[in-house]
Amino acid sequence: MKRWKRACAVALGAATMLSALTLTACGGRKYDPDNFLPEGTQENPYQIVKERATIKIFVPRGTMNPHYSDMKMFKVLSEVTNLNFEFTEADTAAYSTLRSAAWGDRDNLPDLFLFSNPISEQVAYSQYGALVRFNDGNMTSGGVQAGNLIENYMPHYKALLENNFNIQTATSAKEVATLPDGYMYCTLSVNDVPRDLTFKMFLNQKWIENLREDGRTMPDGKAIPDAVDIQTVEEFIDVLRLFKTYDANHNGNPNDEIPVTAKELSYLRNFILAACGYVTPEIEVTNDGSDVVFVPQTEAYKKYLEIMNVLYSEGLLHGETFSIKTDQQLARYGLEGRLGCYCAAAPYIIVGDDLADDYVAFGPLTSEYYTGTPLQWGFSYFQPDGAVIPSGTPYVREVARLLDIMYSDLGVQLISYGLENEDWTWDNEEKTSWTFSVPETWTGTQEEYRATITPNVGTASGLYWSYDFVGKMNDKTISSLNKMSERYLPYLKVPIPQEIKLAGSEYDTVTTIRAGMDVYVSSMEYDFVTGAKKLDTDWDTFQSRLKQYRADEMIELYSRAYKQYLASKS
Amino acid sequence: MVQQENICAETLQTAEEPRRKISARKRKTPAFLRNWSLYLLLLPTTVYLLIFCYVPILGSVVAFKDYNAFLGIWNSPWAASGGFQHFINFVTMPNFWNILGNTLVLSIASIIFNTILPVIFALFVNELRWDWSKKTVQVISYAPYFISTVVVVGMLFSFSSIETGVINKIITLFGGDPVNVMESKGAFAAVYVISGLWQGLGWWSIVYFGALSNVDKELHEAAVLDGAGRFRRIWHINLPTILPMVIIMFIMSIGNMLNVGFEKVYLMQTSGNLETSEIISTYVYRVSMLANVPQYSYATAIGLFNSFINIILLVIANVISKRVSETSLW
Repeated sequence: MKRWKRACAVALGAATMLSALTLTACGGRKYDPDNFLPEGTQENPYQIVKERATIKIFVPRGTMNPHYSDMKMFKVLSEVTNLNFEFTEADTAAYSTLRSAAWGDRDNLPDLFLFSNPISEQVAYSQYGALVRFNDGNMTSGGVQAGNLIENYMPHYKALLENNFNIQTATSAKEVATLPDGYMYCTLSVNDVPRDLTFKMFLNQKWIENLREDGRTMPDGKAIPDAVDIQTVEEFIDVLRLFKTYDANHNGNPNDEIPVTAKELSYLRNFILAACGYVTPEIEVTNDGSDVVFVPQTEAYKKYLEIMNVLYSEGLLHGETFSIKTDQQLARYGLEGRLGCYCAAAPYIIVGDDLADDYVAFGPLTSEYYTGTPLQWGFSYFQPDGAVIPSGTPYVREVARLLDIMYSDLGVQLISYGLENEDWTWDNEEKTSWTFSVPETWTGTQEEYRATITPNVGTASGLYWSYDFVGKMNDKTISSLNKMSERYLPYLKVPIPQEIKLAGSEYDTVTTIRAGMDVYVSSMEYDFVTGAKKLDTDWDTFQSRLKQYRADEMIELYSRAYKQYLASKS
Repeated sequence: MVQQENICAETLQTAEEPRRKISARKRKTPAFLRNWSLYLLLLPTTVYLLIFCYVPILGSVVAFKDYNAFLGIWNSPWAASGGFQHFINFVTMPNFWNILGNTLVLSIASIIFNTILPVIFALFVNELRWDWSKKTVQVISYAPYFISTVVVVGMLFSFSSIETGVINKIITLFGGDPVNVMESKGAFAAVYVISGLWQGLGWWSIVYFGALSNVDKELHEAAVLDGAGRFRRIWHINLPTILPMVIIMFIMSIGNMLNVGFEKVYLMQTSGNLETSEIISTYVYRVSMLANVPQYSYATAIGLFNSFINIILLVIANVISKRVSETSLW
């Protein structure tokens, strides 16, 4: 008995030691500088190394995607470049934590952080020399004298940067990519596809026609305008009132229409707020471009709350709005044909394919309060978050060339819909449209199939999402979405230009302030909208509380950065 | 734990003693060496506790630093105000008292109801005559425990829907105005506690069922002979038997006082109830995991503050319990 026990104890002890030992084991790679091909080979311009070499890449991974190594895009890239990829995949749900952990492990840093590189991190880490500069003529990393990466190894990216990615906008791609010290620590992620540059509000055109058929008119006796012709928020409310009062969906029940709803108010807020002169309830540049404000502190925000209170108290805003958290919950009402107006990525997500055609995108609106140019919240064409190279890796040149391929036609095609003639084919000689081919055996949705090709699904990871290619897709739903979204393009306003960067610790200050204040603002918004608190009596308390939450300190930080930016421009 | 193993070792030794001759040298070797195999058995647990419970405590030092993942825990600069800046920031935040208050309301209400009701439930079910009815009631009562929190919260949202929810159907039946309880500030604590009870009542009472089955039958027989009714017997026999266990459970829940179930509260939050539903742990989640620029130092400082208060409460509860009932954790 005793012997058996002793053996058992020894075994247990040994197992513990062994597991401790295995934890410390690790491997290494050897870098050969002569293996690199600066310009590929004659037959294959994409080839990066002579003999196979391995690049370690840190990436975010969404729930829809398979492993990166199984994605078509990276299989093709590995084939043409002769590089092997070793991915560290960070689940998007715990992305920032896993990312910090990756940076903490200094001896095992990857060669490339691809997609979603926060600007705050670049600002903080660049001061310790932790990041490779893309535009530094004296750049050395891991003993390799690489020089200016963009000049030397990234011809596609360089040309695009010079032409502002062929996008007509006042925003300068170069300035977005550059930190105040004059260096670029990241490559840009670029998006010029209209449907992905803003959110879309949909109004039920069918209901409008139904009401006209029934002989209903606007309160002033004029005919009900088409959805796309509605100009002001006052007209919009009048239409919603008609939806509410009459049997707009012609099902015999005049009381089941839901005039307007949204998910947790999120996008509806920005739509109505835009009609009052600002596009987000956050820090935003004033419309004359002179300074920044915190929108909940403005009269425009008060006006917005007033309008929302009217919507709520008259029963035009759906009572469940504040509890609805997902598209599926919204779809419950949408599929029953009861929704008049809502915000969504596309109508069919909320109302199904049968009713989708009844809805058209409309707006942006103005109001009696704000009569200037209509505004719509726009996402920036350029984001300084595409790819970051940690300094110290000898594979800088290889990584730079790999990134450059991702900005070339091949890269753009791969990240969006895969490989020509395998995943999609040109419809004609002139290459004006192409068709995406989903295998007939595929049982899921088109997006689910696309997730097997590219990481640009769900998480929207991508370096260059180009309308020049994506816009030519031969697909009825998608091209109608693009068409509908185009109406917003002239009015897009990015709340804070991407060129503006705070200093390292200022991002921390802002985050700490926002964590407490956001809760307060959204709780007060609920109270004002539902009428639990009155704008006449409680607005001043709201304003003084915002000051206690250090709103002024936050504006101060942004205001200084913004003025610096203005000064550098003039 | 170590003590127990030791006693165990000594008894083993004495039992085997007559069978062999013990040399004088062996007697002089310390107990530690004589029982080395038992200590070796203890090793995996000790290593586990050291690596996963004690070493990470050192990481709490980030609460006093301005943590930067690139510089690492030890090289990050110290926070301002002698390292206490994050604590100061938290305590001076305008909604600090609001958050702390919400946390306390939820936890105190949970502790009171979740300790008392399962005891009463166990005592009552224990009085059921037929075994099968007792078993059925038990199974039915603890089945909801196995539903995941996400689903329970989803059910709460559908039940409280203004148009289709059961709750509002009942309210309107009695002529009231429909109200969405998930958006109501006043109802949040009640919804949280009641749904928690629905889910956990049967499960939490299982320990008491176990204790009640150990009650000496003779005590009951004697009490019946003395003319004690059912309620008297519960009061004087059953309750005293399970009381030590009730107190231990109570003290342990005090130790977790500020750690109110994070996921359930977070899932139940709507902009309507935020004023009463924002608690310490959801706030920590907001500044760390949810934030664009995660504030690890600040979040750790709040966590540390939280644990500190928990320990104080635990010690106080233990002292009081020791004085009052002579039952305590240590």
